[in-house]
Amino acid sequence: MEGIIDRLRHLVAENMNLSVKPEEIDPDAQLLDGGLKLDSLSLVKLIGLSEREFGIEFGEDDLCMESFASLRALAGVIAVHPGGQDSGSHIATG
Amino acid sequence: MTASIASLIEQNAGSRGKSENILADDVYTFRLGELPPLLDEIDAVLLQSGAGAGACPAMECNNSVPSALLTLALMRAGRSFMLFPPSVAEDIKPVPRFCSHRIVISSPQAVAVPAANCFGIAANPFYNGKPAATEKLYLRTSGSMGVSKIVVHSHARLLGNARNVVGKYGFTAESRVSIPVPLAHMYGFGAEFLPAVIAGASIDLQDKTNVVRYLDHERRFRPDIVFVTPSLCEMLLTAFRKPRTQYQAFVTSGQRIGEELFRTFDRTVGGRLINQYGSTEMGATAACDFGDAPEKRAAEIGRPMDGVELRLEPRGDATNTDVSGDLYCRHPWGFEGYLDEDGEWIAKAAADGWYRTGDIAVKTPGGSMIVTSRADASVNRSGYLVMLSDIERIVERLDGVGEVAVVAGKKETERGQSIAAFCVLRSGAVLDGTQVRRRCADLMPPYAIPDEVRIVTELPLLASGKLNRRALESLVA
Repeated sequence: MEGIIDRLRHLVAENMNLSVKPEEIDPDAQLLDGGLKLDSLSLVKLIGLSEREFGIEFGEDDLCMESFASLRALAGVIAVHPGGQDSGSHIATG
Repeated sequence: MTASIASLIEQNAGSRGKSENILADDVYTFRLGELPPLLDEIDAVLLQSGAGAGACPAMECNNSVPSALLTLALMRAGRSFMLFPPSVAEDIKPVPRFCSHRIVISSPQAVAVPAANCFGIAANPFYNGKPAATEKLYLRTSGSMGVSKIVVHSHARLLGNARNVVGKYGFTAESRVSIPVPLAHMYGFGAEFLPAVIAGASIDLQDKTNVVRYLDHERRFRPDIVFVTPSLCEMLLTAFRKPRTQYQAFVTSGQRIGEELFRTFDRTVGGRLINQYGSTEMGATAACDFGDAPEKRAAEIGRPMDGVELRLEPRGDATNTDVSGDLYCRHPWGFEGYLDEDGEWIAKAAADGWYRTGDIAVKTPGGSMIVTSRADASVNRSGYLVMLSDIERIVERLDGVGEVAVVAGKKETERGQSIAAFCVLRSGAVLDGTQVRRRCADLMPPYAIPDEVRIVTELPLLASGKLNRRALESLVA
């Protein structure tokens, strides 16, 4: 779980134009309305990047506000996803 | 005689088929049967705050039940009011001087806060004392220069326009209407919310929409009519993992969607996607019909709504050899005119009702219209549509400046596409480009200031005597 969170922190830090270092991202901070304040386009980007990074495809039921409440919540969804434990690939950028 | 909003609200509340329908957001869910006493409560709150009869409030309207109720209370009482969206750029003053009050809507996290207690009502410190008109709605146009005009609609025409939309898209009491587009704009308020109210439909309000919030609302509310923006369409395409069959109308508006995206998304929503053509001034003017082929729906304005007429006026441009023309629209439920910040008329709608849309269109052999471009060249800067002609008008007013031509460059700057201004100085004037730019900073928002100002001795002209913009464009990077 912590490994997934770390990879998600890297994904967000390297792809979202937030000017933060991965270790500065609080995994419990709100992703959308408060906290990191990802806009709607960044959210779409995060969905795609997470799928690529972890080699998974979210089901529609995974795509809900609860799943994207924080990086920890998202990591929880990825962790129980078939193939989501550790795909072995490294951070996708760009 | 058509029904007023007051009698519609009463009818919905008393009708067996409608009173159980709901008005909901993330916090509140009310039955239409509960609305009249709720609106009475809001009337009382307005009265206590000094914003009762005779007031003309400007309300910061988010997509929430309290916002929706307040608009209904104000319309029911025949009050004039202004809607503005919650997040406005700092350089736009949201409350004009002719509005007596400013109302902000708080968004409570829990239903424990009564909906009528969500309003922060304050007297407008800059109010000029102008007596309030009756039964008007004021909306800002998205001003190109940060100095927007205020569009005036009468309540009666708003309802007329909304009835047209009800008929066009088939809103009924059984409809489930979800609103993710801003309630503070004509598109969300006049073209989606009011038609839903007229039909006595169930209404779901989505605030700060994104794809996952949309999906949450879709699962919970099961909408069959929804109005979106082209960018939301594009984002939803990545989130919709299976096709939808429940939609009766999936409406988009604004810049037209590319044909490929249109076709793909149209298939995803069961062939129920339509591109609506309209504007703040003209409400929802026209729409393609669902029976039309996707490429037709993607490209054409379609058949006008009841009573709406469209015509092309050939452009008075010697270089124009095609069949395109200025698109004019005559709308029986269109706007009344534009006001300035003091509530004075800038311009009234033309007496004959014909409104120049600012779009260039061509007529298809079938008699429909395809919008090809804007009549006034514009660029997108920091999210604002900036008309190059507006910049020209401002730079022309600078001391020492004679003629001005502003063109868009090819370079992308951090504010968007680059803008260059070419100035011919008046005789004896001594100015350089940097000085012109500095003076622009006092007269226009930062995003509109040309990135480059060149002083030239003359502007290049075509044989027709018109400005040769292409020649200028070729001079800038």
